[in-house]
Amino acid sequence: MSDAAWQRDGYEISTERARIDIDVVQRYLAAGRQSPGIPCEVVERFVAHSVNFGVFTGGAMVGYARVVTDHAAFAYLGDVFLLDGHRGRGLGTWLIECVLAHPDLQGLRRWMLMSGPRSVSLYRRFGFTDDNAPGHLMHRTDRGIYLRAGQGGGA
Amino acid sequence: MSITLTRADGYVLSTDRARLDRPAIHRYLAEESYWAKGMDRARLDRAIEHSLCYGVYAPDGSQVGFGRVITDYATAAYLTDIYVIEAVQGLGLGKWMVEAMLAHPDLQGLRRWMLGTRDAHGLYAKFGFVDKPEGRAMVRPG
Repeated sequence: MSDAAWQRDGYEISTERARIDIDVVQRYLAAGRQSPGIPCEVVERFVAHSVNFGVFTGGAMVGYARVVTDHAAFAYLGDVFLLDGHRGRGLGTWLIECVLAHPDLQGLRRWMLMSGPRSVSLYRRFGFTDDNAPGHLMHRTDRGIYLRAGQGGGA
Repeated sequence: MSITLTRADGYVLSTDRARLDRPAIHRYLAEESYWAKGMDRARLDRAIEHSLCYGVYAPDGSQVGFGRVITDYATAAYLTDIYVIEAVQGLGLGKWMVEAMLAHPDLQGLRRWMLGTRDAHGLYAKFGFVDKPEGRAMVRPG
């Protein structure tokens, strides 16, 4: 897989795995509604097995997105966020643009994501639809998985 | 490290990538499936390299089914390209494969399993899959 980078207005987006700040990702996700309590070792494992996009400025990572993919037919976009102080200036839109433009993720059969209510219009602008008619989507989701005692993060 | 299971009737399920009959898989997906018509062989090879693959083999060794899991081995897994050829449908081979996927030791403690299907909702519902997302599922063609 090839690394890619984009620059704009003092910000940089990079897919270089070694630059991804695991602590920033873990702190943000663990405090949020999607993956409450997610432990560091789970974040480390998914970073190792995803195409990661870090948003950097002033030497710090201030935003993130990742793609779980087979590099051929399918990509799942998840854990998209910008830290406070970096929102409202189009960085989220730029981040999604960069994700969709990644050279290793072209010609796929399906992109997929689970959107919160506030982001639906953003993703619609990029051609995502929540009309599931063409291929019926099913899922099995365990929202509290990291909060239950004895879970240990799984394998 | 691959996993191989053998049923009493001689059918075999294996995650050994080297055992896959890629021309047979390609023929099925590109010509017979409704979801991957025309998929080229190079793209299939790339998909196989980046997936956890399952092959189903008849007692005579021929490949009769396939499926793969796209995963980060941490939080999410997407099941795709799952099929059993018509001649051996009704023997529970598809159910066996999905069971094995969900039970894979490297895929325990995931937060979300996903798939797309047009005609096999009953099968997946048995394994706890629902088609009513709590967050909005959105899809986009490549």
